[in-house]
Amino acid sequence: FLFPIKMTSPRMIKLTSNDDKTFEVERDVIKQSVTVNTLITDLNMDDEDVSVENQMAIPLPNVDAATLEMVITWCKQHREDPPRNEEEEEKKEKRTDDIPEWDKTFLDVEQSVLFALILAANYMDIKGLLDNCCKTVANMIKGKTPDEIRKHFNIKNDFTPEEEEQIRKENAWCED
Amino acid sequence: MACISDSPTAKKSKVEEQIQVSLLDLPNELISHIFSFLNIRDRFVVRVNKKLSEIESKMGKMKTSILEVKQVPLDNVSLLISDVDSDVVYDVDEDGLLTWTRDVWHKPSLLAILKKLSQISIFDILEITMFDGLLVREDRKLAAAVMKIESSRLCIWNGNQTMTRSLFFENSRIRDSIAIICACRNLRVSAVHRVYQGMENRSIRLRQLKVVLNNDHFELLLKLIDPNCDRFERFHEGLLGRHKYFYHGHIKITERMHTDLIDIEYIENERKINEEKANLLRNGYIQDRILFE
Repeated sequence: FLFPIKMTSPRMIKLTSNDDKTFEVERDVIKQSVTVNTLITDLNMDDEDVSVENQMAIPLPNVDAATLEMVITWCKQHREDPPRNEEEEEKKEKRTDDIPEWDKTFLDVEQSVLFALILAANYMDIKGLLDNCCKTVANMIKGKTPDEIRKHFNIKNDFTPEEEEQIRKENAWCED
Repeated sequence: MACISDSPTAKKSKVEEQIQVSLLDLPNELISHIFSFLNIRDRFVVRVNKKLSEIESKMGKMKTSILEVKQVPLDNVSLLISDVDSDVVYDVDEDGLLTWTRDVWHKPSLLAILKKLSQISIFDILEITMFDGLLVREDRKLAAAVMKIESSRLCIWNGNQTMTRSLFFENSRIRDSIAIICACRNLRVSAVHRVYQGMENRSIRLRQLKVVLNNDHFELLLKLIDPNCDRFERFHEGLLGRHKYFYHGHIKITERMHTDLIDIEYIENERKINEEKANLLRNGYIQDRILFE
């Protein structure tokens, strides 16, 4: 007897950015996004009888195409990561020197891109990406003086002279 | 990456499309999350404008409430403050103070709490206040556990803690404020002096040091700080034929040191100590703090 061999191709999901670009991504990759994962389950999109062509795209109104592309690239890179135990993560010491090398290179981008990634990771609820982005920003802050921080992040000093003097006094103990 | 369709409206280049987001555009909770990865020094320094300053100042308070509600196992622990020695009970429910009395004192629970507290980073606990050195008298291990907790402030009330030079020095390195109210019987004045010197030469970064000493300790400290003592007012008390010297007033050396305030006061008698204690409680000095009985 000859049995027909059923080729199992990975299940694909369609995502649409806020600028109307649609991306196809493997179900297994995008499961790292709690938001997308929940939508897939709620909308019964795991039904194998529905082909990807007939499947509706999940709209992501808070994420633009360029950022979504980066998010998907990150998810692909981390698809084999073990699931996070949030309780364990909460107990862990807050460190910023444990960003994986691949992520360090990946997140070496313009500030606006990094902040857009933070917003996207938060909206799509991808904790690993969110943490590594936030650690990258924290590393930009560490060791800098207030003026250096203002310059680096283009922040205007809006303190009154009295408030600034108060902050200066409070900070005096940690000046080198 | 499979980008399968571009709508007619999506013609702009990626650079043009990209929304320019800055740090200040992030929601407060995300900025707080970034700050949570900073150490105490950087969290002070990052207050470079009103918004960031406000976010930073709210972080500590928020975490304190989490600590009180979720992270402290309360079995066998009372939420009343009871001064074991004087039978004075303070009504502190609304202040969110955590302590326990001798009646419900249960060593395993206490150790569990101390262990839990010691895992929480600096600023989560605003202040630890030890009254009357009870823990120290009972168990040296407990005292050591308390001293290792990284609260930003440490306050010791009338403690029997042996404040050696090294212990005080060590504590000054993990806290931003230390107050020793009323002389510890075993206080080493040389320990206070060492911290004072450390602050003067900037090897210690305490924001506030408050030491309330009895006459003997106060006089000794002044002599260590300034052997001439000329600049301090000295007056003579001849009550009941006893001759006693007092140094009068506070020493505030704000300008000379990188700290907000150094208060070194003398204590005349037990009544004054209790007044000071009552004042601080009444004025909310130790509100929202965690007290150790």
